[in-house]
Amino acid sequence: MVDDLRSDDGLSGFDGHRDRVSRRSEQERPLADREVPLGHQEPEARVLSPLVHAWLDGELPEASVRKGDTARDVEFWKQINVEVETRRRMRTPVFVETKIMNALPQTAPVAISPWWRREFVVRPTYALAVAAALIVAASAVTATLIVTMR
Amino acid sequence: MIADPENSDQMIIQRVLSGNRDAFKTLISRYSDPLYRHALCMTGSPDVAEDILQLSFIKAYQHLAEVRGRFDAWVFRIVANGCKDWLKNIRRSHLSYDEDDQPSAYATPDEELDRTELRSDLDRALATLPASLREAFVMKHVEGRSYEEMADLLGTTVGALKMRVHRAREALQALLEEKYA
Repeated sequence: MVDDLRSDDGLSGFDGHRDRVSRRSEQERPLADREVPLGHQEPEARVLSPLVHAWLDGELPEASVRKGDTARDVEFWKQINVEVETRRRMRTPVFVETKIMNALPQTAPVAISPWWRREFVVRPTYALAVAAALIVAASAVTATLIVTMR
Repeated sequence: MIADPENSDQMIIQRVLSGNRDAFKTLISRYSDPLYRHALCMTGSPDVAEDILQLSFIKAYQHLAEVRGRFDAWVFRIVANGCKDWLKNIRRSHLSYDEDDQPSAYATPDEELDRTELRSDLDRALATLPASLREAFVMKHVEGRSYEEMADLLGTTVGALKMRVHRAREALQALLEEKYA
């Protein structure tokens, strides 16, 4: 079994396009594979200033955004960032590593590939044997045909 | 990136493939924290995050011979898909972080109470987002990844990911700003 490791099941092109279409049409389209059918819709969003997005992306200093209408947004995101920072420091519980190691198969992993993808090596002796067998088989068929036609 | 070529992911993978099962522990130690954080923020449940992490590493071990390119990116995709599959298959009630799992980092009980409330509210708000927006927000804000790195891991474009992060921020702010602005 080979896992499909693409997170979007090969729909990346579609995904890129999808972000360009309107949100309205997105709500109406059918669900794609691996898409989560949440019982709730994406909440009504408010539009954030591009300056705030740029600050959150680290492209602008806080001082350049903390003025006018965007000052309130900056305060809001600073609170969120404190909580996000806490999550960034989270570590895997120590017992998990041992649990995973205990659950691993005892045998070493091996590549399981179908026979048509496996390497095929032709050795001279095998090639000669196969050629000889083919000649014998062809001769036998020819002889049988000649005998039958008489 | 690991500077010592002897301890590079590729060398460790070769050791595991040649029968040194314990060498896989190095890969788990190296990458479990960011993967656990991703699973935890995507599912909102430490138990589920642990299960997804365990199943993902077992899957990675079984298919280790098929790794082409970076191991960390490959195993990240396994975990990310595990999270999406869980979200797709489980119709869940709200799950919050087990507070006992996390050490307290706040000075006063009042401050801690505020933070706990914000943590729960943020969890609830994140849970309302579609998986693709939640994933983009978590990768950008919690994991601190660049858009280029995210695009590489998710196999999509930087523009599409910026759009998802922006939409996630706007949706979260709409949900939380009344209480926290």
